[in-house]
Amino acid sequence: MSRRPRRKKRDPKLLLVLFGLAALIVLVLIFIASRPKTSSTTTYLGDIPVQGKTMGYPDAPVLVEDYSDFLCPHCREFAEGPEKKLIEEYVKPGKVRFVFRQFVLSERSLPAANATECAREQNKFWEYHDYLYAHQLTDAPFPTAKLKAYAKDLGLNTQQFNRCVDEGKYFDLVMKETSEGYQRGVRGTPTIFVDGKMIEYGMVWENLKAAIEKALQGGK
Amino acid sequence: MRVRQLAILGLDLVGWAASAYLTYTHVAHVSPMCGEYGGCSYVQSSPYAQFMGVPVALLGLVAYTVLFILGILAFRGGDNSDRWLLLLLTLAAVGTFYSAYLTYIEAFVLHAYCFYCVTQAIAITLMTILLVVEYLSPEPLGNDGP
Repeated sequence: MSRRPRRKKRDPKLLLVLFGLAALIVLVLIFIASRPKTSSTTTYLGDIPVQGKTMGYPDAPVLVEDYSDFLCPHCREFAEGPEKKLIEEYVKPGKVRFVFRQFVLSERSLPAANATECAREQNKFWEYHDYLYAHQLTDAPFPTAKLKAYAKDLGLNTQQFNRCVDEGKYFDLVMKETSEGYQRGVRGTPTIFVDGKMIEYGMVWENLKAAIEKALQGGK
Repeated sequence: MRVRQLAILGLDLVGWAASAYLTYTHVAHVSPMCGEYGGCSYVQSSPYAQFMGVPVALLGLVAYTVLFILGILAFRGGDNSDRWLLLLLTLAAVGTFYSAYLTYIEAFVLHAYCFYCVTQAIAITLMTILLVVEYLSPEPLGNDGP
């Protein structure tokens, strides 16, 4: 009995065509996916690029992360002191990207944290962040009416924002970030990481600055 | 079915399992179990984890299911097996390119990695490479070979 005929040789050129088609499909998908929606690039303090809760130039060599709670007084002190220095000395010159991570110390902090995420949805996270801390002494624990009033003050789309606040839309996300922080060893706020490494008393400017300088010099 | 074909289906199941787990964590609102790098929740909660409001993990789950069915259709032989293979290859290439884009986002935008996302990206890439080898191989696809 004769052997069955071998399959005729397939054309490698067809492969190129198919891969080109696949690449084209993906480009279209990426285009659709990247159309402005919940989080796109914006700027803060004039010209610092911002994407969601990350501020700084994308190619900045060092990553600084801040786990904070909007009801925590030390977080306010950090935001109003060392954080401002960090932005001026390292973020603006493109040496550091700075990321805010939610770490709610109790359920009382959830509405405020959620509201900042609602502001992030409209590319106003950092403005809202500053505004909350500026009103912490007088308004904490931030009743819903206050959270909504701030959004109006900052020129957000209040209809979208108020719905987001009423729904508690980002409670899950806040809790996820909190539990992730817990897994990374965060036990209090503010806790600062530099290039993924927790910095002891990182809320103290000298400690944070030393850690950043070390990271900039390639030391881990 | 040849070892290479079994490997392709096996890799598909790896990608399927990773997507299924991430879909489950999304639906059940639980944090993915993540190694010491712990970037899963962060990556999963980013806007990139959704495509037009649909979780990317769910799209991955559907895609891996479709790829598996196409694999069975192609590898069982028959008149249309070559066409099924071409469709499989094209879809796998789409998956590979899109996974490469998502991995780029993890590395350069989010600066956090999700173990399950990277696992499926590796699986789909290997799968595509094996499919190219399968396509260029002169052997018939089904069990009706010499």
